[in-house]
Amino acid sequence: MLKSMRHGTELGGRWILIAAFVALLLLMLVAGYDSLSAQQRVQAEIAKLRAQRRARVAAVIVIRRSTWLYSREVERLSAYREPAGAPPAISSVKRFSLDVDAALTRYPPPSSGEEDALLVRLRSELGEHRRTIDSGQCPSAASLAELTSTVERLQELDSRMTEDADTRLTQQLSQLQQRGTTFLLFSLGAGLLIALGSLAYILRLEANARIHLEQILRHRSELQELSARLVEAQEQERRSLSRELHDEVGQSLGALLVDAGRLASLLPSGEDNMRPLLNGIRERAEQLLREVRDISLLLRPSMLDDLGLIPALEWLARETSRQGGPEVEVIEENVSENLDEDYRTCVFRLVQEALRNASRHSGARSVIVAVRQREGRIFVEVRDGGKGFDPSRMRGMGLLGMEERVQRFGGTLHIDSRPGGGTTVIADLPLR
Amino acid sequence: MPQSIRILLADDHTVIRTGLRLVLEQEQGFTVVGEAADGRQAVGLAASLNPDVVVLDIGMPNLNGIEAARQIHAQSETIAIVILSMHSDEGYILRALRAGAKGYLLKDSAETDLIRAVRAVREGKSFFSPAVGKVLLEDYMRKLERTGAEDSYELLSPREREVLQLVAEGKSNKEVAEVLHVSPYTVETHRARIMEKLNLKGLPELILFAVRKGIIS
Repeated sequence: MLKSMRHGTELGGRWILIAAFVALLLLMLVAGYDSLSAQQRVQAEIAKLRAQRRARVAAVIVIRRSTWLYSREVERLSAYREPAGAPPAISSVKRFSLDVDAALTRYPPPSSGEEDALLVRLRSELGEHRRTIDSGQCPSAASLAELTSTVERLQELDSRMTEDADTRLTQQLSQLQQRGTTFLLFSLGAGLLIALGSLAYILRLEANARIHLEQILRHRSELQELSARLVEAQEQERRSLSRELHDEVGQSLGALLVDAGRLASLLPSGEDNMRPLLNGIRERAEQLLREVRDISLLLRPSMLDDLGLIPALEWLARETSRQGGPEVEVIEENVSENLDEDYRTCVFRLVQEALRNASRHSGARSVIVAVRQREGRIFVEVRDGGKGFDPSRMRGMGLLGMEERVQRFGGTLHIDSRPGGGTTVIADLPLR
Repeated sequence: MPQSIRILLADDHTVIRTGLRLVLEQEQGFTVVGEAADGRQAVGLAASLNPDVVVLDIGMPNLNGIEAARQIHAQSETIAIVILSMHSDEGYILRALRAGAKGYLLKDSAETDLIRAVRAVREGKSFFSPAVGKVLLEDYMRKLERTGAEDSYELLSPREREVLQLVAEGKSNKEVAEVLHVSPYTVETHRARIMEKLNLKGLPELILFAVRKGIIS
């Protein structure tokens, strides 16, 4: 229950993180698109304003110039006093005023009410002048001054408009910058939050993984401990059973035999009908004794304790061939006579299992068992020339048990076999 | 009247000890001079009582029968030793012989063969339960059959076989020489040849071989 809940929150954390990542990515996409389009917009604006300004400036220059030329001509005409040469013709004045007209038409369409009003006024003033000229009069100095001042105001307005546009552009740019900065800061903040969240998540996962790993390791070592204790307990049980059988049952049967023998010898010669009965009892007791001894040996060979490892292995070898198994040769090198009891048992059981496998499955006619002791290690080798098998596919309980025993001593078990190539079991045990 | 045979009996089971004691004491000229319940006690009693024959059970606490035999034999070579055992395996028999035992009795036939065994070892002869010889022979024959090896007994000359039997029965080179009317030196030569032909190391292995072949029992 607890486990599934913890699992649930782990999953939840993952989904939250994924959603946050996606959101951040979307935010960055939107921000990028937005700033790009804003930039484009501002650029277009700048281009437009520049073109307008250029057109206005050019028009204003032409207007001023033509106005100045016109007013100079008007002044010349009005300042004329006879007889100072040929008087300027009214027609040339008119021509200059038409130049001003032409210049006015080049002015781009007005973009504000003030501009429009100025232009209208300029046109109407010019129209007034034209009507005066057409009537053969010379426009008054006052109206000329009026015209010039209107042109000047237009120029002022123009430069003011340019300034305004500049200010507006600067504002827009700074707005753009601000927006970019805001986005950047926001993204950074969000990214930082997500990174912190991820870090916390990873740390928690790591902590969980460590706890799980520790649990697994602990379970594994507990399992190993358990199976080692199992092997030990089994060995202990077998030994006590074997001793019990041998000492109690066996000895009682032995005593029974001795008594029966004495009874037979005490029997008067006349009692011939009792003798077969007595012999029957003795034979049955003898057979029983042999069976008890065999079971006891099967459980725990007493020679392992009485005589040592090598004699016990030699007995095992003979016993194997007595029961119809292969002929077994035991080779011994340097094996110490007072080897620790644990090691004697371990090596004996290893060889017993290997011989059992060889008898049952290999079909080998002969097996070689070699036990060598050197440099603080015991090497056990059981080699048969039988059918062999594929060790990667077959791993019976017997082999597992062998491995278990060897690992208890920190040793290694190696099984070398292939179909048709015989089997060699090699164990390498470090001595304590 | 011949001097009685003084016997020390060692077995950790009182029932068996009592039974065997009764069997032995029924026999004319046999005296059980002491009983030991373990190997260490047996070694001590052998030293203090100096019996003619010690009957030792193999499976005893503290010190097993074979170790006890080795120590008793080291103390005095005149004490003859009979081993009582549950096992008719040559590992036990060979080690019993190496420890200095002259007789090897299986417990399931002890009550019938014990008298004969004690008498035989007292006279310096070897004694083995008939069942022991049978098991050893079976093992030997099966091994010959399986490995296809030759029975090395066939390699011996008739004279060598005679020497083998006499030596295995427990006779010294001098006694063998007297029986065969040859010099002890000749007997020694025969013995060396026998050991070489049969690939044997020491007297215990030679006796074991003889038991196996049924030459002695």
